Amino acid sequence: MPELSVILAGFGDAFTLVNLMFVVLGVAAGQMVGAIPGIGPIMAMAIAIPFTFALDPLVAISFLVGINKGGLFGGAIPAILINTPGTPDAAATAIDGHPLARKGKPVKAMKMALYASVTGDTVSDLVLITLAAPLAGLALKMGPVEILALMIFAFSIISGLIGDSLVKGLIAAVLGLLLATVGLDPEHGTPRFYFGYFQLFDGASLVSVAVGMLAVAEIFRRIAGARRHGPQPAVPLTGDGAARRVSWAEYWGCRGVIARGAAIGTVLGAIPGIGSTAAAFMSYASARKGPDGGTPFGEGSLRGIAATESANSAVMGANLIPLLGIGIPGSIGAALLISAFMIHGIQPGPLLFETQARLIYGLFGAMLMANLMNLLVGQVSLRFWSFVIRAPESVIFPVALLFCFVGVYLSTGGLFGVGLMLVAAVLSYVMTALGFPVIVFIIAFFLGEGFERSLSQSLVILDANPVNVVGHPVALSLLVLAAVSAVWLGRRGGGTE
Amino acid sequence: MKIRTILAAAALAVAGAGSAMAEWAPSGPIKLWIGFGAGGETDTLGRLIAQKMGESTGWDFVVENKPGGGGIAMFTQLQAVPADGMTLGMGVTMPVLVNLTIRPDEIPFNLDSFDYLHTVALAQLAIIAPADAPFDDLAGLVEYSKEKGGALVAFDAKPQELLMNFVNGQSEAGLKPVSTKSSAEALQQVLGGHVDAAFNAGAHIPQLEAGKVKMIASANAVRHSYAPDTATVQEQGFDIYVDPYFYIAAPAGLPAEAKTALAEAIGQALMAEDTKTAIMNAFHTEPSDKGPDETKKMLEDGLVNVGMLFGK
Amino acid sequence: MAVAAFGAALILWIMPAHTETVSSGWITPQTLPRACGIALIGLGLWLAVFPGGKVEIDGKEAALCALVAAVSAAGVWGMGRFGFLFVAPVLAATLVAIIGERRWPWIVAGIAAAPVSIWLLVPVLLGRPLP
Repeated sequence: MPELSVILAGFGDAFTLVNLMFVVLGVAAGQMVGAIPGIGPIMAMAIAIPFTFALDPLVAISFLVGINKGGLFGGAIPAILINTPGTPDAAATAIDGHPLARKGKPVKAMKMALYASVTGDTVSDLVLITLAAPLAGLALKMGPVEILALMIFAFSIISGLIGDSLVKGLIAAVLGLLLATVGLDPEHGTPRFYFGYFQLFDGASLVSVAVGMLAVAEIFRRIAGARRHGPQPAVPLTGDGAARRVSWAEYWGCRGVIARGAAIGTVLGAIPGIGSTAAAFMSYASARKGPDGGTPFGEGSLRGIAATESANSAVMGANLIPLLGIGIPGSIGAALLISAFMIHGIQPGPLLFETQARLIYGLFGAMLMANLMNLLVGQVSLRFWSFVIRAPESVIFPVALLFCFVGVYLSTGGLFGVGLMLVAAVLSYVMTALGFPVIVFIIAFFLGEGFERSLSQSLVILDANPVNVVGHPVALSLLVLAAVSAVWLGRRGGGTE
Repeated sequence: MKIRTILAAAALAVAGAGSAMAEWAPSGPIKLWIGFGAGGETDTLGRLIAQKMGESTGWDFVVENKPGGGGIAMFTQLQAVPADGMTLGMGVTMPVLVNLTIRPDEIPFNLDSFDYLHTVALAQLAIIAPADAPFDDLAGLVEYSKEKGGALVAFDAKPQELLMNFVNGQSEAGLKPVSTKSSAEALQQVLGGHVDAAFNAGAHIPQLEAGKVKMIASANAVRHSYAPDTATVQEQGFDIYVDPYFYIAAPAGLPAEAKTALAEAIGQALMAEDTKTAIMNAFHTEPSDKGPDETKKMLEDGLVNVGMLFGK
Repeated sequence: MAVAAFGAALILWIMPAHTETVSSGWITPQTLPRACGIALIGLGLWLAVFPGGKVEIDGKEAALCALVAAVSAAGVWGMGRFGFLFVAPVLAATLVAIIGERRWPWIVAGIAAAPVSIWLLVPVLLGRPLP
């Protein structure tokens, strides 16, 4: 722990007018790109990095952190308003957020998302600030075998979301896993299923598939729907007063799910390889097993929104635990921050706290500031978007589709990715029509590559003998938990339906 | 250096503009394709070089990302565009050479499909182990592995696995390769004690300085500038090395003036102070100053070496 | 619902042609796809015997979606051929026409203002190329 004077100096550096300006700018930009389907905070950061060459290191990094944090809430906005998540980790927000918006309470839904997002984020930032070094050490102890067990555990929790047909859910999961095997195989690096397209060497692009299945498919549906029912506003904007506010009692009523979401997000964020989308769904799935407090889940429950948003936002702060603690990025966002560090001549590593203590505490200051700004800017931006949404569907959806085109083109570097996005959209439409859960497909696809790699690593480490798991107590207990939760969730699920 | 002087003289004589590039000028913005996604080290470096080239020549550069297959997707598209110097590509040797070696029929190009302009940097590849490992060099690792019945070694690219196979073949060490996604993941497994050793290209240096890991060998043909006392794999008795170079190429058939002008622009951009710093930060090495002919030779030698790695 | 079983057979047939065989290691490139293929056969047959879950196919909507998808695909092709700035307004115009919007201020906003502002923002302001 550095001296108090260094810590104070670091925080002092953060709270300057210039820094505040760039944080606000970053948060506003992040909420904007997060809200536009197809363009996410990761791409915005990648685009912004070259522009930060000229800035002071702390200002540059604060700006990037602002973008990242703004994006956490931004993704929830279109998920709630038009059922097309702006970022994949907001997919679970749409399950309850959109129905609530349909009931004429879009502002309320967005506010709940904002409060839960900022709460989850702040909790995980505080954990990062106080416990980064010891937690990073603990996270290091999670080897391939433990990660594999953790993935199985995550799957078992998320299986609670499979829906009404177990077989269809399993088929969706297997198909997602199969799609994840496209590209170089993790153990030998030989290409599979690339059908002559070298763009598929690295696998089907996550961005193409996620944007296609989650956003474009819904846009297609809505365009088709608008044709049949005639143009109408995307979301009814009725009611004021209580319908536009989240009361303290409502927020407090969600404290349980928010806290659980923050905990899930923080733990999964500290351990590389699972990601915020899975964290959001785990939190949602476990919240759904609790009491629903009035509105049933799936029909506009505030608790559903709160659970998701607190979990996916909590991942962000915790992602920096391995980065700042030991110099290893836990996510793409963190990897981008590393490259920003390096451009400014700062080498992340185990000595970062010793050599750059003042900068790190400046960063912490900026993160807390960004959370506060997220809250304030968010109030403005949700009003802005609820104004934009008054435009007729005939404009919103074609324009949203153009944004998906542009976003996917930019992040995959070619039209191939855009074509893949359309294929994914059609697949998603067909799956939904036939009653296969798209969400399960996506999660299996997201986790698939890491799953195969961890499996391969674990088999080498365990000498391909499952009995050797006994030497990995953490993995063993996770597997037991997975079995217990599968049984428990299965029974509870059967009981309530 | 000599070529540069002659050109400068020629340029002065012809145009008097004082620029070595006066013999060739682009007809619009030059595209620099990066064989990797946005935001990575290669991308950052490519953008910096493009910016520097723009400053020193006054030409417009546009950087585009064409990720896929470690650059294969980008080079596949590059060989199909006109050879007018308006489109360049930046990639890394290893994935290209490996694919040309093991599946030449499926790759729609070969080494002759491109004109080579310049190298950018050589990635320094090290073999590392936890600081408290009971061995300090390759021989020690081999011994340890025999004792233990197979030491776990993390790697993140095919040639590294082949290097291990080579060591295994020569010494019967029985090293067990563990495939990881990146240098960072391999490093994490070393630090967490999940593997006994790992290949690493740069991420390990701060850990080395902090005393958390130790370096067993350099996997390149030469020792590393930051660790001059650590011998190479070759020096330690295994006649094999892995030299991943970052380089810039253009479609084959480039007009000679364009080739010279572009190669020179790249060379100048690389020698700028902030480019050097960025290369130092990203790859922990000096910029590599090989011109067109040397770069071509480097690739041809590299193909032979990779062939050896595969035992072909 | 035998579709799933059919898909599985297809996978077992496609696999040999599109993977490479390796000699070493516990997990070959084929292991996971094969497991998926087998699982699909099993689950597909199960579903064929015991159909479950909801199937909601709205023929008219599906046809319209297919139309929208086809228009979008044509848009992708067109962008590669003629460039974003020319194709984007045409694509937007087609979609707006499909929805049947008739208020001209909205039509202008959707098919002219939006593509042009995207174009001004991305290649011009941010320096990232578009097709």
